[in-house]
Amino acid sequence: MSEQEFEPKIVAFLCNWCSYAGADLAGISRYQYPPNVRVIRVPCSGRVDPLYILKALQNGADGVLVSGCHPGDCHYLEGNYFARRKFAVLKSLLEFLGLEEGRVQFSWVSAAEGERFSELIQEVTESVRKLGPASKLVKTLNIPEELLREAMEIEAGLQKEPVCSGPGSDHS
Amino acid sequence: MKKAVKREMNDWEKELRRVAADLLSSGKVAVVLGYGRGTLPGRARPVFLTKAEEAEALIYNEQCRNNLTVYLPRLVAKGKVAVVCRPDDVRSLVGLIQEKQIEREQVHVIALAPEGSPPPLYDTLIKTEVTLENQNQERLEALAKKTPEERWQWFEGEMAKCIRCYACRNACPMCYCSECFVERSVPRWVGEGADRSDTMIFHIVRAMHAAGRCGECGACAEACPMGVDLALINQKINSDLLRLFAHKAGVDPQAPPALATFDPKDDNDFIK
Amino acid sequence: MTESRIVLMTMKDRILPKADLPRFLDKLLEGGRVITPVDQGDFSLYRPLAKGEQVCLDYIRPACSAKEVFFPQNETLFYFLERTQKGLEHPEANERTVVFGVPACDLRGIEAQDRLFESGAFQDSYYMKRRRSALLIGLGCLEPGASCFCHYFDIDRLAGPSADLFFVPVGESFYISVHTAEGERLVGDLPVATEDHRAALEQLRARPAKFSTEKVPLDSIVRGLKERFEDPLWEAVAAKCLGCAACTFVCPTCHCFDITDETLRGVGRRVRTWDSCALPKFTLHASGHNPRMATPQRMRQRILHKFSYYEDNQGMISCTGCGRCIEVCPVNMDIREILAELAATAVE
Repeated sequence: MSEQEFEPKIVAFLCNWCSYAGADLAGISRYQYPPNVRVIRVPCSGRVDPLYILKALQNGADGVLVSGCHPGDCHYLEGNYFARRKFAVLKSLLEFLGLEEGRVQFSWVSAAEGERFSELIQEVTESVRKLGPASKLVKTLNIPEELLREAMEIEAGLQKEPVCSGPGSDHS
Repeated sequence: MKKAVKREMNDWEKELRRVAADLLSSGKVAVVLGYGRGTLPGRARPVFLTKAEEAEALIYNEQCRNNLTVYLPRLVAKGKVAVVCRPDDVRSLVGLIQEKQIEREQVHVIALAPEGSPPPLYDTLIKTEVTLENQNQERLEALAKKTPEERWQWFEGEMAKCIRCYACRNACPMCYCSECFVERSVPRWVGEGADRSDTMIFHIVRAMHAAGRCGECGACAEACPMGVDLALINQKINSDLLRLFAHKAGVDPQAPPALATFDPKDDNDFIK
Repeated sequence: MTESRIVLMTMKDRILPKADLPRFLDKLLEGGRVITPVDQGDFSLYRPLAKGEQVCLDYIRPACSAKEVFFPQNETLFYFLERTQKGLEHPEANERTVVFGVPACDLRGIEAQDRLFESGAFQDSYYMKRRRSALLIGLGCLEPGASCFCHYFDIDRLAGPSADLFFVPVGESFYISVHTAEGERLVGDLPVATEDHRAALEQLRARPAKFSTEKVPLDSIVRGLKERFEDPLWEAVAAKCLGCAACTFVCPTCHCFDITDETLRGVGRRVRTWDSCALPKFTLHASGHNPRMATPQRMRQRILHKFSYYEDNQGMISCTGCGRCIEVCPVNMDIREILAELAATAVE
């Protein structure tokens, strides 16, 4: 059986001051981690509206990660404390409604934790891979096959232009 | 209209009418917001009274299913308002005051509650035998025992009923935003119509917006024309808030809403 | 819509024993889709009937109107590629659909929607495709419900001339009036109605109907309605309205819709969805100005549209007295009260 392994798409909301810097450090230090993650930089984990997490899932993300500063270290002093309460409620609600545990994950990663960030992404990617492709909250537009094929051809044609590669680049 | 069937007036309705008439005739309030008989069998509905003689229309029974505090932000602009509150309605009123949608002095709260359970806030308290109980907590616990797939089937089934009329949202006193997130078109967060995924997003996000502010009045579920089991979604969040943060919305006028505050020692176990 | 609306005098009325209804519907299922009131617990809804499933005629009418059969809440108009602007329609298969169990109020509602979507310079091909492949089987109401007021609009609860067939429950059978050739094809093998059957039907029709409210003189309301645009009564009448869309969505005649494009990564679809004049965004201009700022203006619009503008534009009042709006309204707004108020204060 030579099936292509399922490559999950993971959207990661990283706070600018800690987690995003940690991801940067991972890159600079050449710590490898799976390219499945797409990073969205936010000023603070407290900025992440539950709506964004849900929109990511709706648009086809197989997993969503939100990562911020460790409690006590928030650049804006309290943002991550508010975030923690919000996320606790959201996570519990989503799992209650039947969303698979592990689709939405949260972490604290500091600017100094480059190696830890890469380990975290490996862990998150593998756990989401095991869950399989997301389907529960996904919005399908039911586009006919022939249009989808044409769209993919157009996209492939566009991709022939040079792009920068590395963490955070956005190609599937 | 069919002639109303004469029935025995009970003590609490007598007292309610007396209080309302008094408030109006003395000019203490400009409007009394209460319940009157509806135009269909078994329906009570909101009534706005401005004259003492109209107080005879007031009723209070198990059919009273609206949360009248939803009208307060609009009505207090016209003068002081007396509002008839069921026990959980007072919790939304507390929330509206905390969130500065109304001022305490602008309302005269006529609370009706069973013996021994006074609401957190009132100006007039009338004891009543009417109980507006529900089995939401029991039903929540029963649902929690099911598997995630079974719960998803339940959620999907409920969401399939929704026609996106927003009766739930509009009946909720805590949904007072001048522009709701579903109405924003740039960016369009949620599509119109009853697409299954969009409808789920609407209800989950609305529940998150109400988190820590929902007073469990049940007006959303009562308003829904399709019988969507909305109460359980909010009940789940409220149950978590109680468990995780010892928080119950609207019972302490000094306590801020659960998501508007934090404790450095909040549960951290779910975070990697 | 049927090919011919002329009632052929040679078509015979038929009889179907109530016990034979499941078999009759099963046979209809062989020829295509059958949409009937299906039990949902506390109410019924028009849904495609599955083989062996029971139709639910326990309720006076389904909670939502029949309009969703021809004018669904979500409809994809076409798909497209953003870059090349190429469009692609994916029309649904044109399956023969029989809608069974439609009360007279809903038949009137379909008539109202037909006038809008099918007549005049603009014909809605999406609506028409569904409508043309459908047959309507009406169902008479023996007793009006508490919220019913179809008698305001000269609707005969026991007759449905715009339907292909009309069933009236008489004793242990249905008396079937046949109005079109297509309808006749569905019941051609059923026993012909006899004089006795017709007499029983007439006896039923002679029984006085007990509605909750008395008919108001609509002419006086309709005539002077536009002049009452600035009337302060709208403030009072709409004071309790919460501004949700429940009434408009369950209404058989309400037809407003929005069209939006939904795209993801270069491909998309254009969808039509139900919209409502009761919602705040309905008349919101790009400038931020909203001519219908609050519920009084929107309630006024609703009444004027139904009782004045539609009369002007389509030649009929777009209210069927089905009473759904009264039942679903969370605060029991009652259009009968509004009409009574308008009639009582009408200036001759």
